[in-house]
Amino acid sequence: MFIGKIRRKRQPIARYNQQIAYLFLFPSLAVFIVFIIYPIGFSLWSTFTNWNLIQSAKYVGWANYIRLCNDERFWNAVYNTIVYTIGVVPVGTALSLLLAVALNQNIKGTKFFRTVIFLPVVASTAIIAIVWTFLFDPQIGLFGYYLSKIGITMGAWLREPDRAMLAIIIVSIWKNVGFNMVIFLAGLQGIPYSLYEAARVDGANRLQMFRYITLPQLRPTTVFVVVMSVLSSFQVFDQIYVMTRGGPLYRTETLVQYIYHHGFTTFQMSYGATVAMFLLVVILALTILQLRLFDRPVD
Amino acid sequence: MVVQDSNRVERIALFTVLVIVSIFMLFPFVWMLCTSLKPEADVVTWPPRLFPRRITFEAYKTIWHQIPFLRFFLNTIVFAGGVTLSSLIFDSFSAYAFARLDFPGKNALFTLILITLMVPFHVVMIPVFSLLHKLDWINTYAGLMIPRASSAFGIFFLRQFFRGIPRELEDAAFVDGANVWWIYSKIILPLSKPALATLAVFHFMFNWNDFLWPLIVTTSVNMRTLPTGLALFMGKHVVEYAILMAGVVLALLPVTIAYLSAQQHFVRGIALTGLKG
Amino acid sequence: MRNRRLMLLMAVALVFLLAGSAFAKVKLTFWNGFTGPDRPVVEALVAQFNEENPDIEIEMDIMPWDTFMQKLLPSYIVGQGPDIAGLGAELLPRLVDAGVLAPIDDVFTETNLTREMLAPFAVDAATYKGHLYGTPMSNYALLMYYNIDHFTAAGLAPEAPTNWDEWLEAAIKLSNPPQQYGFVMPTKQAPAVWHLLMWSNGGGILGDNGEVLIDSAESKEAVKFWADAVLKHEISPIGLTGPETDKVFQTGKASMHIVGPWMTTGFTEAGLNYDVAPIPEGPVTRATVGGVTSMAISKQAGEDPVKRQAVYRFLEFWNSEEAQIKWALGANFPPNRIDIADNPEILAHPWVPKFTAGLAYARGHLVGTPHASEIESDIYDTAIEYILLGRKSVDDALNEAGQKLRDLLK
Repeated sequence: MFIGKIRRKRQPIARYNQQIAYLFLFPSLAVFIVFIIYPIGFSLWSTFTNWNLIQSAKYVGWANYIRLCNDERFWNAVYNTIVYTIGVVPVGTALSLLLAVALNQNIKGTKFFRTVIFLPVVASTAIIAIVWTFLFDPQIGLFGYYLSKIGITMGAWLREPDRAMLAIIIVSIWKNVGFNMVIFLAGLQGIPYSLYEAARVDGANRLQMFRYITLPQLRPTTVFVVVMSVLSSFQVFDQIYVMTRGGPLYRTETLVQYIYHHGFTTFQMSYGATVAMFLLVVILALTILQLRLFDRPVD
Repeated sequence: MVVQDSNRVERIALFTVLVIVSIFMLFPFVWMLCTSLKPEADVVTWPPRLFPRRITFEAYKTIWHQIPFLRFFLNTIVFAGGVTLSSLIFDSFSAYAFARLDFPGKNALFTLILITLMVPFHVVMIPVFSLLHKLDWINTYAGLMIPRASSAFGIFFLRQFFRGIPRELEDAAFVDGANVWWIYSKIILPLSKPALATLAVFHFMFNWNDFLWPLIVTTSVNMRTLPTGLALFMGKHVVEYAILMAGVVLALLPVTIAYLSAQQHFVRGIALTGLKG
Repeated sequence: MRNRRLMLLMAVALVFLLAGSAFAKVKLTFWNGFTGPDRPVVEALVAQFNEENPDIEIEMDIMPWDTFMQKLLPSYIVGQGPDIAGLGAELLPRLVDAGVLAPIDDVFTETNLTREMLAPFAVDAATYKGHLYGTPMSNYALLMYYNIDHFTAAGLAPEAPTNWDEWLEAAIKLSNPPQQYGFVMPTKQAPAVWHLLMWSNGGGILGDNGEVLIDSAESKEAVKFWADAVLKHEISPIGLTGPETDKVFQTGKASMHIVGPWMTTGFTEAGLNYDVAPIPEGPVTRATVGGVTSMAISKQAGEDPVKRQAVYRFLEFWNSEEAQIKWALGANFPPNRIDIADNPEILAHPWVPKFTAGLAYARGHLVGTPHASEIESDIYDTAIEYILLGRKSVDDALNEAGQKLRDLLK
């Protein structure tokens, strides 16, 4: 009955809205279309040329895309990007959710903990990467030194093909966990306390409350965190550029690192843009899929 | 989730875990701070030392003397602050439209906006630069800030938050004759303070640290921001770590302050949701 | 009435504009990547030039190297590039092919600089397709640094080895991994130590006429010799970048190290007891890598006679005796002017004369090809990395490198 009432009320809003929605959207859209969509269009055009800074661009049809299919190094970068994303997103999301829930309680020093965990987010990734490279260094780093004191020899993580990616994943999680934690904290504020009280009356324990109130109520936040984490993981660059440049033996070379390589080492801008278009299509598909599956307003 | 029946043991365990996590989070920053207080020759040593043998403020003095620190600092505040402000306004406009209004092309436009998040900056750098050149915006505040005046991240973030706000309030207001603008400004925005505060911190922080964009768009040193200034101490062969870290410590302060002052908005929850029970 | 007043106003404005431009300074933009400790020296010299030349004003913009390239490309594409760019000479061919630089073949007739004043490799490195595209902003040679205390402690005479056999023997004797390594060698992103070893044995990456040498018997032999030393005798840690090798030497964990003059300040400040020596002579010859940063002129500036003259004045100033002495003493770099090597101030300097002597047998690394950066990262670095990580034999890795290089140059 009640629901029906609301539905009837919503009708007129919807009609009225149509005219004004575009006004609300106008400033953002103007900025995006001019400064992002148009340049993307330019890049898309360049993927059908051989633009490389020397020759004036010539139309080459699908040549860049055909090259992509047979480019082993490109598929290696795709693989590395997926490994990185799988390493970072689930663990990072779960950790930040746990920390947010823990720090939404009345524990001593919450404010301090929240600040400390957020601190890595505040510093620039490039600088953070320099610091970690220093700490990881087996010859001069503090970690190796401390470990050697207790009789453990630390390997050269960033120089070993099999472990470099793991080191980068650890640093990335360390860097971003506070970011997602804060988003979850903001989401937690929006959950009406009355829901918990009602559950308490029904005799629910804390785990049940987390499962049946917190998680469903956090859905929009979780969707946002996961979608954004996947989006940014697919575009990871700064920490890899500083810590390994994609090495050793291309084992940490991700798609954006490879795009950068073509932009500023081989100067084959059009091929770099082709890789970028592949990246765009993949992320777009993933994002739409995630939104279709999970993005609903809270009931 | 709110603490109710957690017993003492549980709390102590949780507290211990958080202390360990904090040490792990803080360690690199302690290293930064200590390094900034060392003479350059003491940074790279064997055995490595965390704490300085003797404390010197040489690195801070060098920064002060070798780059127009205040100028860079002010530029960064204008750039990051201005972008944050405009982005909060425009992002919340769009987010409101996407979260609450119905209009033709809504899904397509939302997808279009998400697409802007999916292309690495290096790919669009050259066309963007050409465009700014044609507009004659190179080396201007307009060129620095207008392309950043709104962000898809912010729109998406606020849209998700707005969708979590119960609709009943708006419906009631609408029946009372309120228009869309009134609902946006008098209901949605006030209820979204935690989200807006969070987003403000993100925008400010992101632009504060941004390096490539201000460097590419500006050509005169007078327009430069702090990260570009600090990069001057990273040589091709020789990095002056003590100075670099001193600069990072200084650059961290404003963002940390911004975070701390915003924190009370998104942490307010504890007091409001209450601890009774 | 109104119109006439407007006309008058415009006429007055025009007169002022013309007068203004007649007395206006020639403004030149100058971009380079001299961040780090050399920056104050560069800034002081540019300030001095601006002061001594009231009709010219140089606006300098210094930024880190990799960013420099990112800013340079779009700027040149829209015609907003700097009038003068201080670039690694290996980058010149690419930009010349892109048509954004102007040749300066007449610089030795239009200024009082002469070809003979400059280190030959530095002029060669800036020459492409028969034209000169830059005069040196700085140049250097890599030399051998050695830790005197390590040599003494191992019972060796405190002198650097002079040939490969002595060198290897000393390196093995000085190695006690992981505490100490005899000769720290980079794997990637570093001064081209492996290239100079190939040269010393009569090999190389590319010959003078563009022939592929990286898979020649001489190159393979040289790489095998030293890769064996690393893999079997552990004379060096593996996987290091250039700056990482510097740190290993600086912390006293390596006894020998090949690097350029920029590390003298850091090593001295760290209290290291060390000296620098010539690169030991190889089985075929003595060779080292010479690096040069060239000052190149943009096409627009080159076509504007006023600007071109102003740029030449600056090039002349930069390589004047006075400026070069200041540069050498301030930055610990060998002066670009080889004819001032016996200047008493320079001779009195602890390091500069030794590096100047190195210029005599220095060669440019990957100069004269538009593919320098690609060869460096995808062919040379990759091959060495495969070998040192034990993933490929020297023969396989270098054969593959040779194949890739031929494909690239096709």
